[in-house]
Amino acid sequence: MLNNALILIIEDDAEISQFLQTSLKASGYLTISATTMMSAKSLLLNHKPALVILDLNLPDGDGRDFISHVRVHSDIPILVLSARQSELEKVACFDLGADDYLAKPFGVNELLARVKVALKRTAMMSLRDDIFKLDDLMIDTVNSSVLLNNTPLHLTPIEFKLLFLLASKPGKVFSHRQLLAEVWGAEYVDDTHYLRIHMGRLRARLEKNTAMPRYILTEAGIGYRLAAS
Amino acid sequence: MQKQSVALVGMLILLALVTLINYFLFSHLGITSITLLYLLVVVTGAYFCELLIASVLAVLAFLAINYFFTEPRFTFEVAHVESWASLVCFLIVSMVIASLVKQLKFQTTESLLASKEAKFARTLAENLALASNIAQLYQDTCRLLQAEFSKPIAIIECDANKTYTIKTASAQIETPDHRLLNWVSDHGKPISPYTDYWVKSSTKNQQWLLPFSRLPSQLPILVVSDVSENEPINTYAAIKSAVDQISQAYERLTSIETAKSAEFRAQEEAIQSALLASISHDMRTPLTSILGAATTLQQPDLSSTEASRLTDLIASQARYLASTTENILSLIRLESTQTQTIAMDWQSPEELIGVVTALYKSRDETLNLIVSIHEPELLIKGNANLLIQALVNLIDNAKQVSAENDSIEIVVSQANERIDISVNDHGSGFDAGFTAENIKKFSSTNAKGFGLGLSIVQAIATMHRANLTIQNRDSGGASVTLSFPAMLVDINHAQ
Repeated sequence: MLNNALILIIEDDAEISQFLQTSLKASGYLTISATTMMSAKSLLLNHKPALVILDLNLPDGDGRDFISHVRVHSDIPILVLSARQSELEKVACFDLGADDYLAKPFGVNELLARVKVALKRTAMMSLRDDIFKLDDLMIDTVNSSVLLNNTPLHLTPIEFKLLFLLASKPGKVFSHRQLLAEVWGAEYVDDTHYLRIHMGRLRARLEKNTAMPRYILTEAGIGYRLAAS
Repeated sequence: MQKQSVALVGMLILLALVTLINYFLFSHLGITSITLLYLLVVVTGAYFCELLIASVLAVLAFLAINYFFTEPRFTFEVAHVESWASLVCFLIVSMVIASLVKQLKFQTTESLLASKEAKFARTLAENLALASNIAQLYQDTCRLLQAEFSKPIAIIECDANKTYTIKTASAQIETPDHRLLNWVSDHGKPISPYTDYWVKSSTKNQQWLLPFSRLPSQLPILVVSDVSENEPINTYAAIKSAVDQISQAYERLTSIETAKSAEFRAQEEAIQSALLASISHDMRTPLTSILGAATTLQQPDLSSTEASRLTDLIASQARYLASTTENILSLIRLESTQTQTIAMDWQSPEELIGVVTALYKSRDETLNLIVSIHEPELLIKGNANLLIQALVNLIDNAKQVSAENDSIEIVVSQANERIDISVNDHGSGFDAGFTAENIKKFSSTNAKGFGLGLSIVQAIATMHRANLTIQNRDSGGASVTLSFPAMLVDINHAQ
């Protein structure tokens, strides 16, 4: 199911678009491509792709407007390609609802891995799988339990909230502001130190080596994600 | 005036009361005690009222003693010469005491006022000496003057286009008329009822304008709001003298800031020359390899093993080129960006190291990293991406000088209100004489962008008010340490 998924590539640079199409097709995906936001909107409506790869700098507008446009009516995974211009720009993408980003230049293996994770997440969500399992970690969001090596893990309410939020969309990056707003409340969105301390404590309970985390991954300057595979 | 009338009525009532008491207790008290009681009334009057009222009291007391208590009683006649002498003495003594009490009170008030002024001057001087930047100087000034004089205080800055902006204000104030501000700037003179330029008005919300300079200038102007026409001259004199003190502190801070910006420019130039020295080598080498490999691949009779080796070479050199380009872009960004525009946030060193290890893992690069974090909940204030780049540059440098199985150690520790992150290797160490101060010189002579990476680390350290130290370890190898100021983190509400 994943391997013949249709991917919409929105990229105005012909070489990069070509390279993306070639490598995705070689991995068994189907692709359609657009060079402007206008044509992308029409392709999205007519072909209903499974994933969007979006370059932010488009000739007829800002890619961020496209994210807002899509999120009004669709949960389709959006993978943003960024030229590492500004952290604020990336954070804005995640706040608007982007699922992942890749900084240019990137290797094809990294791109394919991210595409796979995003598609897998959509597939899992459609199956309504409430149990997340990766290596020794199992998170059951329905029964509110976390098992590490088959042993129940005792977490504080804040740690539970943080972990369950990340586990609600494994692989998806949650921005600092999103996590702070969901767990502490909207008035705490700038208090990143709360998040750092509690993430540190949560990692200390989950990870074998906190300096080389396996489960909770940091996106520098942006936020956190739960490793999907 | 009204206050003095009330005091007079009060003193008359007191005099009447004392007269009643003396009248009824005359037989028990005797004339001496009665005279002393009247003297007490006069002294009290002298302390609380004006001298004139005290004098009136003295005369009334003299008449009361004469009428009620001197033989023959209930007449103003006096039978004996001694009685006359006593009465006149009472009048003179009471007048003299009243005058002395008045003087004593005046001196006490003056000395209390002087001590209060001295205390304020000392507090102001202490705060001015401690102010580390102009914004803090403005805030302290407004706060202290408002507390001392109970008037809203503001500081207005003037730019080259004669646009005035309120920089700090202790309370909401109305922006003074531009013509008045222009006059103050152009003449270097204050506007107040005690100076040349003052428009009389009966309103209570007038403003005094006091410039930081006594010469025509565009220096800031201090505004004292809500003053009336008849504020005491002492208040004006005290504020004027405070402004003189503040303007000296302002001059001191502006010269420090000018020196700092000159130092910053010199540092920018140093970084730029380091960049130019490294750029040629760092970009041409991988480009040569890529071009060579690509043109070789175009040859038709190449074995598949050879072709695969060449594509691997292209990929690895392109990656190296990408990282060098990223470093160069960072330098350009760092030197064109003011420190205050970089997003600074709380960062966990443990987390930053986690990102760095993940980065090497994603590049499939082997890294024998030993991480030692003495206190996991330490936080530093900084920019995540810049700090990661600094760590990656330090690890890349360490990797270059390390043998394949050598470990690289990262140590995070806290001591003396600083948080240190050290990257230690087991290589040959730095050349003698190489320090953090001469990275620029080193960068032009060293191969493989070693100096470029360190120049960036140094620029990043400066932006984070961190110290960069480079040293060789006794046990062999080098140690590069970034030492950050430790800051207090309040996580009480985070639970």
